[in-house]
Amino acid sequence: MTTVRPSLSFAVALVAGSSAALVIAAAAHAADPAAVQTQISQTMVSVAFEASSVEGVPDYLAGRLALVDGSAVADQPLTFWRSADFGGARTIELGTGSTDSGGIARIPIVPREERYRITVRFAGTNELAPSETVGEIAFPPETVIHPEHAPQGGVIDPRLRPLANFMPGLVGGAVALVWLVLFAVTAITLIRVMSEGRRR
Amino acid sequence: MDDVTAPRDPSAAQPSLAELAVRPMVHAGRGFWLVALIAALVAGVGAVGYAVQLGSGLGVTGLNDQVFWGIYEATLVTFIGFSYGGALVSAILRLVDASWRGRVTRIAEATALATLLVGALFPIIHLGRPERVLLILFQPNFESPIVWDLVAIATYIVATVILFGLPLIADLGILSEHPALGPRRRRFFRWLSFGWRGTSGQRRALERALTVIAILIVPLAVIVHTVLSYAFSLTSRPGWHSTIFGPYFVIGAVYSGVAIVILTALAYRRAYGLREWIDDRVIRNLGYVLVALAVAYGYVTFTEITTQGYVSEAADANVLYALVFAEYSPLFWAFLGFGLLLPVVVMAVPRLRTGAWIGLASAGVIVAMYIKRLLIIVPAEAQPLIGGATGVYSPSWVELAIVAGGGGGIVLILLVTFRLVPVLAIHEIGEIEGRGEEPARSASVVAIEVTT
Repeated sequence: MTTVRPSLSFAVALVAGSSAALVIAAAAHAADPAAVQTQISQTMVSVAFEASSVEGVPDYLAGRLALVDGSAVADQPLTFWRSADFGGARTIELGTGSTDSGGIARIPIVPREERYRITVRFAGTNELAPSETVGEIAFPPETVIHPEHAPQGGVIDPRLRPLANFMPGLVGGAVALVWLVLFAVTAITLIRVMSEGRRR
Repeated sequence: MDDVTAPRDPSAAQPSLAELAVRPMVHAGRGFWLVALIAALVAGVGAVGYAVQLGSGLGVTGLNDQVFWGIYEATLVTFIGFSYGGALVSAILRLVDASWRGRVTRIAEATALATLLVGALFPIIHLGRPERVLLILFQPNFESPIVWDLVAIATYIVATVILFGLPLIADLGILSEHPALGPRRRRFFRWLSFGWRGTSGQRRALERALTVIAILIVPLAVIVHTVLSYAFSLTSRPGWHSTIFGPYFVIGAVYSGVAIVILTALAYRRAYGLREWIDDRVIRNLGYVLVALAVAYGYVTFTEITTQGYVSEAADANVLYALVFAEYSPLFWAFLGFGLLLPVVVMAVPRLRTGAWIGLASAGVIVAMYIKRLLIIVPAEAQPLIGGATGVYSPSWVELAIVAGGGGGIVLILLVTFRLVPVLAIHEIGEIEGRGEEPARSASVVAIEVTT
């Protein structure tokens, strides 16, 4: 069973997101009387990181969708994006989750960096206005995975460690030998063909 | 010098080997341009798909948290499998000194190279962020199968380039005096042929080198495909974590590789009137190889299913049930029918051992083996490991476009290759069949005067 620990940042983000959405919603209502006529309910979204306390169970990004009065909106899709610098600044879609009865949608996440700028977007429906929030999420260091720096590829039984240390060198040596033979055979053949070609 | 370049007597009914071999190089009919245009368009659509994926991330694919591989991985295994079959056909026929090998070795080697070059792109396409491939070079984790995948594929590319390139030296030397080719191209060929004059010393050196490379490429190809299978078998997932995966992948690769060589040979035979050299006997011989591999692949499939089904661990049983009786069963039975049964039937009935039927069986094998790779990947991934619903996968248009683009790219590379180099191994055919081992081909062999 998954056990998650809502972090402090969740509450902070929730309050901040709610406040911002309230202001935006109020402004939108004031500026757009049509919204009242069609009875579209304003929504607000917040985002937080939920670190798992159970080994093997993933950490989650959690987005909460609520009406301006704070009541949860269930069964609606929330899409999660992160900002990245890849061929220029851009956002990368992380995934989509559906809100539960508490208005929370979760997607598993493996952070590769200490901080992500996360955008959670609700596209809206005929009755619910679209909304989005952008939050800077700081991940606890123990949850961040740096695959390029992973120590020795994974968990290896310590008794097998000598084998794990020995094998890459052995295989690497064999590969080097193959490359040597390939290039040597090619070079020798080309030299022989050329020298024979020059001979009258 | 091998005197096969001389045009035959105009009164002779059949063109010489060299004339036939250079035909695709000097003559590009409407058919060629039509196929090239379609292949380029398909490759272009693939490029557009990749641009979309590059801009938006892997979210535009049908991949998800559960089914994290998909048709990219299936395509990688398939294309590299094609190349393996091509290289092995060439290498093994060379080692056993098959008298008919010269007629298909060039096609087999070019197919191997084209499919390998395109197939090797798919791990990078699958990365989503292609620049991350550099991490394997600059920060390698030597205990990761991915690092060794890269090493194995790179080594195999080098070996395949050499296997394709070395025999070309002799042919380019021969064609450097062929009047059908323009003076610039002849000069270029002369330069690329390293002064080839066909002396006994040159022929001996080339023969020795090709024997060494052929010996080397057999275990190399086995290793490459075994390492490729490590991506599955070193993963603790139902249906994957099995020692049979190495041989399973190797046999599957040769099997589909031989099928693509047959199809390519048939296509060039038909397009350029090469029936005299790529005759039904050659296709039939390849068909026999195909049927032997069909039986071998059937055996490993049976072994895999039996060992999993007999022990019936819960997760394995779920995957097996989905495969044989539930949501994936239409694909599974289609694989058995087209992939294993059809070639056996075609080669078992004497009347069906024709180019058309063997070509049909080969096309069936290619489609069936692609399905099989998907069946290895998707059902195992869809099986939840920590609870929850079974995963679902449906490839998006982006994935389909990129995979189709890869196929278009292979066709395009082959078309361009055989516009640049001869489709038949002129020197090799001259060497083997000029020895008089092929009395049945005497009419054409007369045109090949091998001077020693």
